[in-house]
Amino acid sequence: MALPFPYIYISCPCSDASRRALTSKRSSRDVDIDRAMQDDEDTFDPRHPRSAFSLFPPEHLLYCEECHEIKCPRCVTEEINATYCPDCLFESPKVMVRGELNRCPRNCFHCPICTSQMITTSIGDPKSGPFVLNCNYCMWNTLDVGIKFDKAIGIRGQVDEMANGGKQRPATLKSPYSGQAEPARKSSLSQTPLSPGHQDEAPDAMDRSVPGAPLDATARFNALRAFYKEQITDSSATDASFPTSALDMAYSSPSSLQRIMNIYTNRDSSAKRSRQKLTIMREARTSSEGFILTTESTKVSSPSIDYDETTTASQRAFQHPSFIGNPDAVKVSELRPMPTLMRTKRSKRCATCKHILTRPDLKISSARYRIKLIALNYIPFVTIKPLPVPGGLLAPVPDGADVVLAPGKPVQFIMTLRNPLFDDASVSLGCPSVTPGRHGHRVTILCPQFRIGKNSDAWDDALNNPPDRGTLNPAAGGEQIAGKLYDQGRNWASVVLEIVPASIVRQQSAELDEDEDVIEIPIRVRLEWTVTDLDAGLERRKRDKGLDDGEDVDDGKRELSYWMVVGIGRVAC
Amino acid sequence: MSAAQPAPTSTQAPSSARPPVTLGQTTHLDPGAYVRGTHGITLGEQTLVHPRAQLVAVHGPLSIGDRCIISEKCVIGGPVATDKPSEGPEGAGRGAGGSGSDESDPVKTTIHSRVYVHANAHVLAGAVIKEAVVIEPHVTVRAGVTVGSHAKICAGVTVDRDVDDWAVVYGNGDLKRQRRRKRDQSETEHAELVETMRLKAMDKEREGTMAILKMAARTATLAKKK
Repeated sequence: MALPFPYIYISCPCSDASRRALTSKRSSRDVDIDRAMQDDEDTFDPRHPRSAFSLFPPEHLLYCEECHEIKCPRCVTEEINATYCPDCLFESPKVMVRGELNRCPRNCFHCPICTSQMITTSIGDPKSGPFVLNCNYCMWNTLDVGIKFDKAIGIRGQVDEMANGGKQRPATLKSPYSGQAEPARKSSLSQTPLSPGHQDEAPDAMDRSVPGAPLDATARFNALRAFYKEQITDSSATDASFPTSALDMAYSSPSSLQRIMNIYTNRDSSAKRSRQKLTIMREARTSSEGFILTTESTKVSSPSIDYDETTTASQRAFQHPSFIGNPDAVKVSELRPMPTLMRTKRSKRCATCKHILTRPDLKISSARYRIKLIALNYIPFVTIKPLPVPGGLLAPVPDGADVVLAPGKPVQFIMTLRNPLFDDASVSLGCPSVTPGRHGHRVTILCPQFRIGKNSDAWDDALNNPPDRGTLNPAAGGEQIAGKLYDQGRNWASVVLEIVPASIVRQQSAELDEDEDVIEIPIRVRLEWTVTDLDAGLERRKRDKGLDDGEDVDDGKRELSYWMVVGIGRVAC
Repeated sequence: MSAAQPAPTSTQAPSSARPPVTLGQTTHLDPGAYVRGTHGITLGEQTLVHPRAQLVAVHGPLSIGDRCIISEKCVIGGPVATDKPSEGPEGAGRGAGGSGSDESDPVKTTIHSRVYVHANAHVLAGAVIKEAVVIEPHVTVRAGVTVGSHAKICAGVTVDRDVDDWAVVYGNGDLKRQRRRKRDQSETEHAELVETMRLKAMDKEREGTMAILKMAARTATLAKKK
């Protein structure tokens, strides 16, 4: 595991299959409960392949106050509260975001070379421009691709309309979502195919797009698609077997499937029909229809390019999507500045009861949360250190070195649980006497059941109690008596954990599996506490709701149990 | 003001022998900057050396051109004297223009005009930095390396080989970009236009900082007199 020893992981119960059955089917609850209880008896095995999916560091967990359960990132649903640009911190309304292609619609751009943020600078008069986008890191600027701006604001709009080299971009390059997906081109169907009239079209198309500017791949695709769609509409007026809708067909829809099946099953009849009514479709001919001569494309990728002028794979990847950037760029001069990707603020809800678990502040510039129910405010925070006895382990130093235990030699650790709740909680810890897995290490918790005090004001505590309260039983400190706490304080208690590592025997040739020598101890933690008047208002509200539903009245008693996995160290072998 | 600030008084070099420093009339070598070594140090006109910058002439003479900015915590002509001072500039056979009286051959460190050396950059002895180069923070330019004019060394990069003119070195020092391609005429013009703007901004910054630092130095000397 990646964390340094000793580490703590908590298993979210959501991955427990029996549990899922329990919660999803309320009616069959009584039937399942026996089985669930039995499953609970089974020891959690941290080495099981499935465990990896349920173990989380305690900091990653949330707590639902409605279900009284720990919630891992997999048992929450997320919803987007706001979409904003991380560079200018402007919020975009939800309806606009899609049209803006999820990128900043204002002035924020990133450098296509080094992906750092670009700034608008003036080359010339500081007020009236012209302006360029400049990368202060790699000193790329839009002049390198021949783009200048007349205004210092609304850069996104200006970039969208400009091709590299400063020329106007063909209108078809507009995004397919912006509502101008279909180019405003004259239908070729106004003339009959192969009529001499098609020649007149060409100049008409040319004056909209800049002469000589070849369409890029997306525009060509759109043009070709539109063209052939029209052709098919035209021809399918007489041929029913291949309708236009086939082009936009969703393969998942049952009606489309039906149609496809029809084509195959009635092959004879459809073949007959198509033979009868053979219509002539013409192919795309002009560049406005997306037609391109191959000689032209070979000219574009001329072989004489400096290696320095070629793009890297990551630079091309940064250019996606193709209607904003140019993912096919071969040369650096074909790259385009990319508008900043928007980011979202999300709130998280419990997947089962839809209770809000986290909700960020509405203000974009604020990074705070209005609601944040993190699990560490509800479950004890556990720390583990070696027992300070002569000849024992030294406290781990933060140099990332592994804790190595000698096999067969008992080692004691102090496990301290700190109560974050404002009520006294009784804790019971259960752990198997021998850890599951191939090497059973013997584990004993000397005091498995105890109470930890409430997390009251530290000053209250100091005033109400004599100063020696902090070390409640100094005589017992250092003693390891079964059934007695090692030490206790205002809202914490520590118990002694004794481990006898098993020796790992192996043949000469046999190699250890990865992390096979790590001692991981599963501990079942069970907490019980009674909610007092601190959040009585909340309780009352809940109770009212509960009465309406005809459920049990909430008596404020809470109980929570979960598996915790403690990684202690490695066995020397 | 700067004329009335002779070099030897402005140095607080810990070494016993203060190097002969030749200053331009309009150059501000801050009293807080460290100057050490025995070889000559030459500063051009209108150059600004921030306090706590180190100009080391241990390994050989040091020459800095006009209108440069040397930021604080920079070490020019290093490495700073350790046990073996001749270790660094070995293999730097470039421009031995010094007196040669030392135990090792002196190597000349040259910084040309309009160079901006940001904070905590190290230019080792024997390096040549050409005109209008930008050296960002935490950069190390190794001994004997020539950095071409108008190049930029981005933050944290260690330069161990020569850098072309108009190049940008970034990433881990393995990424390079040419700001101006040789063939393209319009490209050249554009790059030069942007570069002119940048140099203008740098001049403004230099003048502003120089005024502030001069004022601060004057106040400090007045306070000391009282």
